[in-house]
Amino acid sequence: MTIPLAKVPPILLAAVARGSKDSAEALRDIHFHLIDLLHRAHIYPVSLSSDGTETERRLQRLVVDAAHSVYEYSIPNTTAGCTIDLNIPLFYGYPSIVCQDSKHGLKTARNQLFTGARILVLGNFPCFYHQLLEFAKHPLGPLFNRDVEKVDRQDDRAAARLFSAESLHFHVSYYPDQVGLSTYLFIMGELIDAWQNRNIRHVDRSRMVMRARYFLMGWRSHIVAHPDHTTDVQFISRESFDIFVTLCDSLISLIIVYRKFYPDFPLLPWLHSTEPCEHLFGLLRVIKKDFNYADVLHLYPKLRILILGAFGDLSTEEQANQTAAGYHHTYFHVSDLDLETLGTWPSDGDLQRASVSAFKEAEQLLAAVGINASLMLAGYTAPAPAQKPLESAPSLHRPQTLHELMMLYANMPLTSQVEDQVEMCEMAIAADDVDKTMTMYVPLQSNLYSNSQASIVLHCLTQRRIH
Amino acid sequence: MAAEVLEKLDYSGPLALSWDDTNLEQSLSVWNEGNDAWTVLGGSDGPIHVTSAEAVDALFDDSQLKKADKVCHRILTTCLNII
Repeated sequence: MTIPLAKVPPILLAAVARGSKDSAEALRDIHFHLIDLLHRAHIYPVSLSSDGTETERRLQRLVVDAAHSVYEYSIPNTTAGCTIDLNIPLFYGYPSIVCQDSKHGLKTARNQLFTGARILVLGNFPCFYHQLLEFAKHPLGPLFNRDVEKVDRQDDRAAARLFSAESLHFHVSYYPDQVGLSTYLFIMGELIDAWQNRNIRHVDRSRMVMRARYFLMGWRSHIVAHPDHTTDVQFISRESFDIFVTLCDSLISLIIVYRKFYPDFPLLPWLHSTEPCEHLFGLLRVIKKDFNYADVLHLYPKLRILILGAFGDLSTEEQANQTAAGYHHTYFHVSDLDLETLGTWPSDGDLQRASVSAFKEAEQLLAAVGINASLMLAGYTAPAPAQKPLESAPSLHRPQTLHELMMLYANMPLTSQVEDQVEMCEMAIAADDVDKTMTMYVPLQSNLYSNSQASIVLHCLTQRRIH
Repeated sequence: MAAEVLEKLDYSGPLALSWDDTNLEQSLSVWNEGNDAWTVLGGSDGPIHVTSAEAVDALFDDSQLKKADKVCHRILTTCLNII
């Protein structure tokens, strides 16, 4: 006989008042004090999740650096640059994986398209705000006006709508010329779906995140190698890239750690998130819109009862969602849970095959936008972690692009003979740039593989996603 | 407390620790614990314990005392939806 027991609400361990300008080093002491208390009680959290702010990510790096030892795991791949090496921190022999919140990741992916400071360029295709505006204004489209106008950047549901299978299907069907945006929507949607999906196999999750990883690496390499592109303008932000790569690596790490340390427990990846914290904040703001630290401590017993209510009765889920304007809490949603699948572990061979398959798919998607994946991945170098800006004397700015070089001559009086020479130099530089650019793109013959074939690739993958 | 809850649940499986912060109204509050013991809450360097009402007043007059504008929660979650 099975006795269904109540759902288990999160346990609030600490509420610490702090300044918004506190450094990661200041937060480290608080964190390690708490972790120490947990370890003394023989509690070893398998995941450490936070949002993607620079301070939090730096704190996570400090936590990793403080590990007692490391569990090394490698997923080999014969394609250059595609072997994934994971270093999982161990504390007293127990693993603790630093994770990023996947729903924050989805909002970050969405917000990259809204910034005016960048214009994302995926090979031959740019991705920019006006495309989203058109998409949302389409009378048959699945997006709302409020998804693109007066945008709430923390709106979980708007982000979910943008990266949904329906949106992707619609975009591929109605905007076949915007292959870059379709590809971006597909890759990022799949990355988060790997975390949030309640019933797919873990080997499929691995393939989805590895595909996203290879795709992002190839894309970044292409921007770095391109003579006229810079990662500050044509690529997603450095922080976002770091968040997405962490999302990829931490999910694979979780699967490997569960397989080795907790094989009898199913892995529910969506629970390794900061969603419980946001749920708590939402409830706090319902009770008192603006609260101080004493209010937090005073309201704690009430909060506990409210959270118990939310967990005890699923029908209150929608009520819970009203507690914060943009947040949509789903971490206790279990209607389509498949525990058997969630407790089935991929073998090393399965992961290697998933890696090969992920690369092939990333290669096709990159080829669809004109990027040669093998070439780019072979030359990939990971960006260095952010350093505090050093105060140094301003260095002489050297022209970085052809345009900047030409500007040097713009207001200079030149004789006709010198002018001809300058023109020749400019032509030579331009030809050299075109040569360099052409070598990075997929050769034209095979890439007559243009929009129509790119659409077919995306259509196939989209259909797979819908089903 | 966490250990107690987990023991009651007889749960020995994986646990997830998460943390996040939210905005806090900047203000100081005083908690009188009796017997000339007060705790001033709301500073960014943590609670301050004082033993006289004058010390409390002095703290409130101290313009250098930094008030917290964020509260960071740390939450432990059992990694099963249903136990």
